[in-house]
Amino acid sequence: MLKKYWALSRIVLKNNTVYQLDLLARIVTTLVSVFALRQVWTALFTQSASSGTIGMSLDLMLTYATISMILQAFYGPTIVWEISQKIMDGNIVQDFQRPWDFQTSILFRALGKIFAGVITVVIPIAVVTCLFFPIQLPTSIVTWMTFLLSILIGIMINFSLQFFVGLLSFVFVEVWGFEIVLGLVIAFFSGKIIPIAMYPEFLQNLIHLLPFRGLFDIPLSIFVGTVAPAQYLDLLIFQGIWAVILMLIVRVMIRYFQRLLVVAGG
Amino acid sequence: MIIQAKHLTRDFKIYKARSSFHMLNQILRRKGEIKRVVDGVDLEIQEGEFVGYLGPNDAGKSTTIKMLSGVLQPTLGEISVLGLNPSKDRKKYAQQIGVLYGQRTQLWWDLPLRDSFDLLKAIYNIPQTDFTKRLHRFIELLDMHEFINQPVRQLSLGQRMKGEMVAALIHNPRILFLDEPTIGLDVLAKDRIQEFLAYINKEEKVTVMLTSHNMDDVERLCKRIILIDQGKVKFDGAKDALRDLVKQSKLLILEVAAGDMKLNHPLPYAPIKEEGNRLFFEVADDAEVSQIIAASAQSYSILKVDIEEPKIDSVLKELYLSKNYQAAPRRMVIEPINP
Repeated sequence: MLKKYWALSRIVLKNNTVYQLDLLARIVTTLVSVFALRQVWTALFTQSASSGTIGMSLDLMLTYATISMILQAFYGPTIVWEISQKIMDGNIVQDFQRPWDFQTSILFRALGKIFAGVITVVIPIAVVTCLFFPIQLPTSIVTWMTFLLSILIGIMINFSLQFFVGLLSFVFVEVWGFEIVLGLVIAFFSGKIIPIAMYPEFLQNLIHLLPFRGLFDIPLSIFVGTVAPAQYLDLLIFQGIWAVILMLIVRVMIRYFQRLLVVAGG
Repeated sequence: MIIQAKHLTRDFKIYKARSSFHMLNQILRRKGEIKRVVDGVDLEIQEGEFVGYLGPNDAGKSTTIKMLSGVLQPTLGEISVLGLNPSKDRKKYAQQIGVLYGQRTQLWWDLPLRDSFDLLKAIYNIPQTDFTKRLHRFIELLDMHEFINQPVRQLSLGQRMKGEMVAALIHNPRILFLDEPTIGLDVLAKDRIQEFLAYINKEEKVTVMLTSHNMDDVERLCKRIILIDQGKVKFDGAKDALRDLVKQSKLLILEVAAGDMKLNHPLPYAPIKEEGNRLFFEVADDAEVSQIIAASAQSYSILKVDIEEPKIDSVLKELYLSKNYQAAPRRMVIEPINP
């Protein structure tokens, strides 16, 4: 059933790793970033007396930052450009002409890119971290499983958000600006850079309602152990509800635009 | 009947300022000018036909193809292709048709050509043995051995188009829609692709619908022509019948000895023009040819005889310009001056 989609993921993975020097450059960039990020947090924690007030030790913070970088590999690869490009140059007709579900095909395209990210980001960080920068790993199997499931749902949420922005291309043609906005909103409201616990309370209340924390805050909290196992189910349900809502919104949008479809190039 | 369309119509809303808010206007249902791009087109195509779907730019050709291929929903009218409704049974339908847009690519730019076909194998669920057999045959027919393992970005336009051709046909579709398949190709590549298309149509019984501005394709491949302009079908019939729409007739060209021209004998038939020592005669029917030659031979010593058929090219040019698609009466046969 999913064979055709997996074949698509595979070819995207291949397409994304075909240039070996580029691959190497991406791996090096990743490693440098991990090193830099650790230095920044170490400096912040050792230079200021406030470290205690957020309830996180330096070790915990370094774990948080490293895992956040790994998560970035799952959410970073963008499909916005590809979707908007397809819409702008009209090549989207070819995707509509395949015997597949359009939304699912784009999802598996995204997964292909994510697999490429696993090679260029996840594995290098995991290796280097284990060898040189020890972090606190969860010991419970349940935590690990919940963490992985939570990433999976996070990927769905992120995918839908990007898809939404990409589809706006039908309306506004150029959506690069929207993509930047989405990137900033995610960076700010998801706990990607700064743990949500450090935000003022009114913002925390807002963030707890929005889907963005499903990307970073939830999987990270599970991983570093700032939430108790008793809360796992609630968090996964929260993520799941948002994932379903967003996927449905995108689905309705595709339907709508497909009906209106005006394809560039006559 | 493999393709049947009844009163196929498609409107687009046009807004005066085509800004980036174009679609926003559409969504907010603001008033705009409605342009009927395809206007009540009726089509009936039998299995195994090779149909040229022609018309000037903006005539509604691509829009029709998009409706027939299930991407675009018609505003009005009905389509039934292979007994299916293209936009409603999209997935099932897509499995059975091939579409090729000469100006788009479905190949993976950075990967070897072969990889693109492997992906299609999975997408269309083609059994391995069928796939290998077909691919081998296509590689043979299109002479693709050399570049099948090269990244697509390194291919020439002609090589790439061969690849596109295989990509459109690898899943053994019953119908092939071609939108300008030979655009920008050199003579050799064009020839190879035309040959291939003729083979596919004849041997594999694939029904082909072709739009092209390359009249070469049409002359060589299409037996039937459907001509549309301003969204309406203006002509539907055999290629030869299209020629009858315009007044152009065959030309008989006689090259005569240079000395004879100066004598300027009165001719029994009037040439429509003279160029150097060449005389041009319009010929209404083939019987006239021998009469003209015989009559001219009395006044001239004939060196060379040529007959020029009116080209589809010039027939279409005249039609597009005049917009007069009613069958024109034949030119009156000029009676010989001296019987």
